[in-house]
Amino acid sequence: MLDPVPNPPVSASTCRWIALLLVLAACAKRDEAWLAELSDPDPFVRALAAIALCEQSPERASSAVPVLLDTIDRSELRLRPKAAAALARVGGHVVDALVRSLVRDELMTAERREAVLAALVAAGPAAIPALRTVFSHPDPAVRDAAGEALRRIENNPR
Amino acid sequence: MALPRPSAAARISRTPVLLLLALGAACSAYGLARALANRIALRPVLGPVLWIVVPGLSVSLALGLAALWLELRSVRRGEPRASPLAPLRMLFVVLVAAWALFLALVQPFQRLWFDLALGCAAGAFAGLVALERPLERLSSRLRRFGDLSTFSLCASAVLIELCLRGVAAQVPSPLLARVGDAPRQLLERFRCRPGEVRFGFPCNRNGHYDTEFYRRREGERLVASIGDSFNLGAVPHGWHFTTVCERNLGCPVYNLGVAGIGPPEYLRLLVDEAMPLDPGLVVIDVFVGNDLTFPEVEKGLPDAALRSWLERDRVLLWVVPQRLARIAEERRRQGDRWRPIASVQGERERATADSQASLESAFPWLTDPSLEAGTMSEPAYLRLETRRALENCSVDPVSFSGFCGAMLAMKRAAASTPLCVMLIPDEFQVEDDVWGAVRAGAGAELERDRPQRLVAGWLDRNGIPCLDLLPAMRAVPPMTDGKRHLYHLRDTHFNARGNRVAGEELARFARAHMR
Repeated sequence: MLDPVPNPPVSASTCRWIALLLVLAACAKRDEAWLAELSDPDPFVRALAAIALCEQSPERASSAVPVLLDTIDRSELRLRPKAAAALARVGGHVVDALVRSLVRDELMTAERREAVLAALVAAGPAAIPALRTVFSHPDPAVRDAAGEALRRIENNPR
Repeated sequence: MALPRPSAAARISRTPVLLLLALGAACSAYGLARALANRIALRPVLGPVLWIVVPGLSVSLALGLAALWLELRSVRRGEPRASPLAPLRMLFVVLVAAWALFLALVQPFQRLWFDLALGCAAGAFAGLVALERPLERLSSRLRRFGDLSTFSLCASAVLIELCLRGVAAQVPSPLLARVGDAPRQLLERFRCRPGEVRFGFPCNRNGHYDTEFYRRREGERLVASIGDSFNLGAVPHGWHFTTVCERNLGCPVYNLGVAGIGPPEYLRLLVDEAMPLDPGLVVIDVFVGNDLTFPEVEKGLPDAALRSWLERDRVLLWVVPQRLARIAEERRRQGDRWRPIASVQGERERATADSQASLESAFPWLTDPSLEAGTMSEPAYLRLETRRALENCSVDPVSFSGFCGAMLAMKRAAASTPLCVMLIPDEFQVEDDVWGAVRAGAGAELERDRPQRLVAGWLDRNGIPCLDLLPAMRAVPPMTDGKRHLYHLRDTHFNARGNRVAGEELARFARAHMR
């Protein structure tokens, strides 16, 4: 009796999937490419780079925070909810940058403030020490925002 | 003369299509590569649409390659094209249809969206070329009708757009203005014509509502006042706040005003027209209602030519019908009292005399505000005031960063010449009944004086003196009907009373700051 022909270790279909994944991997941009695009003159390109960085490498997203906040302010880009969602996704990694943005921007839009608060709330208890440092800020609006964030974190225990 | 052999005829008639198909396939491949390279960002931005776009572009690429192969096969077989121009018409129709779809569905313009759309359009063209032979089974009359009707429709759309742009270039008009016109273009579009008569007074050679301008000589005093429709004014020249200020100050106050402009255009007016006059003081007249928030949609953006055709607000074929519809609606609301839309009462009338008494009799509402006719209908006016209040007085307002940037640029441009700001309040900040109506319709918490509080503070911190007209206007005692009547009825601009208050305040302020 003839020995049965052994199955090839990898089927043709698997090979096709591997080839497709290799093509996709070759097409994908690396973190460095996204980081470089954060300073592109086109605000849309900057916004996409910031969102991509939050998806791909949340731990490197702190440099994307100013771009995301700018995207939230630029209604003409129509990426406001996406930028806010990206900010919330990386909230835990960028607590300091978020608290700094609360302190610096006196003329902050309602949407920006709401997005920053949502991201701080998403960061959870990790944001509490940084928020406490803001309680001595001279601007009552900043103190109120910090208090609001703390209240929401306490009401949403994870 | 020898006729070309069939193979040569096939080559000649099919080569342009071959080249176009190759270009189209390259566009589809480029679009697909862009979509894949950006997929990490596109996944949250486009959501499930990404899974339509990527297969769509893949199909486009496959169609492009298939059509290319079919075309090459026909060349090899020596089959000449029956109608060599048909694919070019097809391409034109596909491009115009893609343009229309882009305007309708894919806004605002972004280069990435354009690359993806072009890839899909190339696929559509390739698909039509590949389907040419099966479509030949349809009756020739039907095919010719479809071909000519779609081509005529698309050609008409492009021609109308080109004609409208041509007219807009030759005859500047707000109806044909395109959002994103650069500051200088915007100034030329909205500036009055030299000699244009308003309330019986001719504009000067620069199209400003004032006498001719001359450069300041040694020892003379001169103020340049720069602004928008407040400077253009809604009153005869003698009642305008710059003229009132001039009389009080005893020196010329040049009025550089163009309706419909904002801080970026003030900067251009300052650099191009005010500074060459060497004024001893420049006053930027900032209207709280529309000068603090303006979109900086053009700033530093690439692909200007593509934006000009693919951004909805810049395509006249898209915006002009909407503007005409709005004008018709406003005219319907105003009923029998027909006069030009957005034109102030008496603006287009030619006064027969220029003495104060004769002008007062020609324009009796100058002395009696109860005779004023509203410029806008009540709903349109309230809608406008409410929008302005929401933009500027919401407890969390939109960013004033564009305004702040423009002011700093003006301060730099003025160099050693003193530069000041006159903050002009909106009517809802002065008239309590308008404020009540605005608050009722706003549906959000509003702080009535927020723009003045924030902007005056910012100007102070940046060393730009500021005259806030709000306290002086609120100090005017109401008339018998309880209103102060400082703005023309439902117009948003000062009437004679408002101009007098502003002119007197400006004179007091200018005296203290003039060089």
